[in-house]
Amino acid sequence: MDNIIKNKLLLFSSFFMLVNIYLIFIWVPTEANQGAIQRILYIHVPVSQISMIAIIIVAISSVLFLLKRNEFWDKIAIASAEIGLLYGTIMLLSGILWAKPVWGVWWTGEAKLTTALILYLIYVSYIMFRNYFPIGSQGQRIAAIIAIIGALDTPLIYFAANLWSEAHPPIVLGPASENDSSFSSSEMRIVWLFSTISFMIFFVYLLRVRYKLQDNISKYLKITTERPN
Amino acid sequence: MKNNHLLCKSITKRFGNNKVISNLDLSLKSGDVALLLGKNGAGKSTLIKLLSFLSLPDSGEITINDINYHKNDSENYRRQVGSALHENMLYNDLTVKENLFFFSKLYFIQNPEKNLENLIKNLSLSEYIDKKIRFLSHGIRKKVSIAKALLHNPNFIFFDEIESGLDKNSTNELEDLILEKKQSGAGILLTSHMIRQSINISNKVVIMNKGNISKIFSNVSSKNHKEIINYYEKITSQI
Amino acid sequence: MKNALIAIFNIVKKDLLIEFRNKDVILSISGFATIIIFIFSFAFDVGSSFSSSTAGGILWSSISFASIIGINRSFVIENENNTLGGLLMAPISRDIIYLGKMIGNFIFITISEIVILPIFAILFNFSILSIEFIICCLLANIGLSVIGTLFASLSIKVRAKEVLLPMLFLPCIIPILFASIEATSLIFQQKSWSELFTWFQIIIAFNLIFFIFSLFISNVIFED
Repeated sequence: MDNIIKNKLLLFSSFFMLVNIYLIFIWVPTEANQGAIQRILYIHVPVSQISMIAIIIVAISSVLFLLKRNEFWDKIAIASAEIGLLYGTIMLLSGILWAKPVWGVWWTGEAKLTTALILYLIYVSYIMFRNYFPIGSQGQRIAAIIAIIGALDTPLIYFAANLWSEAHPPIVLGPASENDSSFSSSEMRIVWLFSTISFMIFFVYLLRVRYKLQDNISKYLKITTERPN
Repeated sequence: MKNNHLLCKSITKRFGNNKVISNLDLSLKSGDVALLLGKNGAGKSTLIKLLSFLSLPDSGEITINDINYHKNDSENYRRQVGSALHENMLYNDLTVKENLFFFSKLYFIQNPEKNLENLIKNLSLSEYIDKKIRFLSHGIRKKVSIAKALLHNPNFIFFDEIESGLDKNSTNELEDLILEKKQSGAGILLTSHMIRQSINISNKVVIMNKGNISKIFSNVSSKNHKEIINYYEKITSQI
Repeated sequence: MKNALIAIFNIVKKDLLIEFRNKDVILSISGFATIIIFIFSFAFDVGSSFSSSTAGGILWSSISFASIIGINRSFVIENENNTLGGLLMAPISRDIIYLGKMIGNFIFITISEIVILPIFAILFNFSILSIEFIICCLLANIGLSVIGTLFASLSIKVRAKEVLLPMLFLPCIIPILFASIEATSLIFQQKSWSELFTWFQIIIAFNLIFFIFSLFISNVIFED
């Protein structure tokens, strides 16, 4: 039963992604201002949004884990953190690749970028922490607390970064320095929407795979280390 | 005469994925000196940690006089128990006196000096009172940690291999102290590897194996010492 | 309540007494921060020209790095002989232990700054004797000790904590870092209170949120 669901998800996901690639790189017309590089945004924007959702999932599962002490929530938290990190990496790389030709710089001190990078670092530390802590429920609880600290910190980081970038305005040059990266025509909006859906399905598939892996690890450890009574 | 009763009901504890203690029941009354035996890994130290409130059981309950202080009023529970474990829990850069006074204040003892007078005398710690822990031998540190365990006059006392590193005189002092506490109504649980000696002061022997209790000998006297020791050696030689 | 205050007072007193004898934490913080400031002052060739922003940045980065090293030391001391176990067995609630350590760490960071700040003032030729700057330091120190103590107590059992603790700590204190760097810069430019206040508000909000959170969560932290 599980395998069938997993395979259906994989099938769906592959289908959507293939169509997505076609739409992004072939079907949608090139944007006038930024040129071909704008196509990266159809990947960058959905992936960024989903990585933020992943972080919210980690925070909520961590709270639920601490309240209910049900291991299910802990597995969701670690799965979401790792897949969220993967999406975060794609977000950062695609963002940098887009920024150089469009803004003239690889990176600016804009609040959103700063916040995204810091959250990324906090979640790298979260995952490292989980792996460096001896196996057991205490490590799970402490990791949950760290995730909640990261979540509480996020608005403060964003607020501080915002004020900072107002005090130290970033210098952007290049063809789109005055424009934002919104999708102007209806075809672009369709592709953006489709891309968001594709990446979402892919995220759910990966989340499921990672959750199952964590579940299996947990079961294996229970069997191999439990003392026979 | 005190009449307190500590009861463990169906205690289970996991560390990591290891079930170290499973469904354990134990009873300790005022005036008991219970010797907890078992080979390495049986779960003795974990049980003592649970009783000392250093760790919480995954399931089951620990009650004193049928009230679950352990869960609901843990500060009250901690006032009634005192423990001396493997690690001495003393600050290396403070003197014996400073360590004992510090913990006295945490237990809200009004007149620490007077309160500790007898303990220090009985454990022969008077000459070490102003020395820093860092410069004291293992045996003396052990005695200080015993003093720390007893300074608030707990109703239940837990000792985990407390006589390791003590010389003969100190061991005798300790045994006298245990008997004195027993007579004043405390319930004592101690683990030991020196079975033949510790059994002399015990009125109860609890043998643990693989996270549970395999046998309890409730009326220990010189008559059944041999039987108990034989049983214990049989259990420990099994895989 | 009175008992809680007495217990906190005694824990802080104990930490101060130990620190007075071995000077572990304060030496770590002041030594480490001073060295970093020295290195940065060469690296950025401060002698010629520098902005108040650069100076503020160097100061607060150094203090932040050094603080987490020092706070880590203060918990390593509790780990010797497992004295933390002694505190957990005493009839005091877990948040009292947290508060005691936090106040102790705040005092250590503040005392260390008495060494660090004059050196900074000399190297960068800035005046540190202003009430605004002192307030900025005290507010930032509270934040560093709140979050530092929180993370250090979470990391007691983790391996490689000398690496992990800074990795976790430094991104999380970005709001304090930004705010104190900017406030320091404004103070050096002798700007008005109203401009400073926005930045102080960030630090105060940060301190309040994490202070309350830490008290709340202290039971779970020390659970085994």
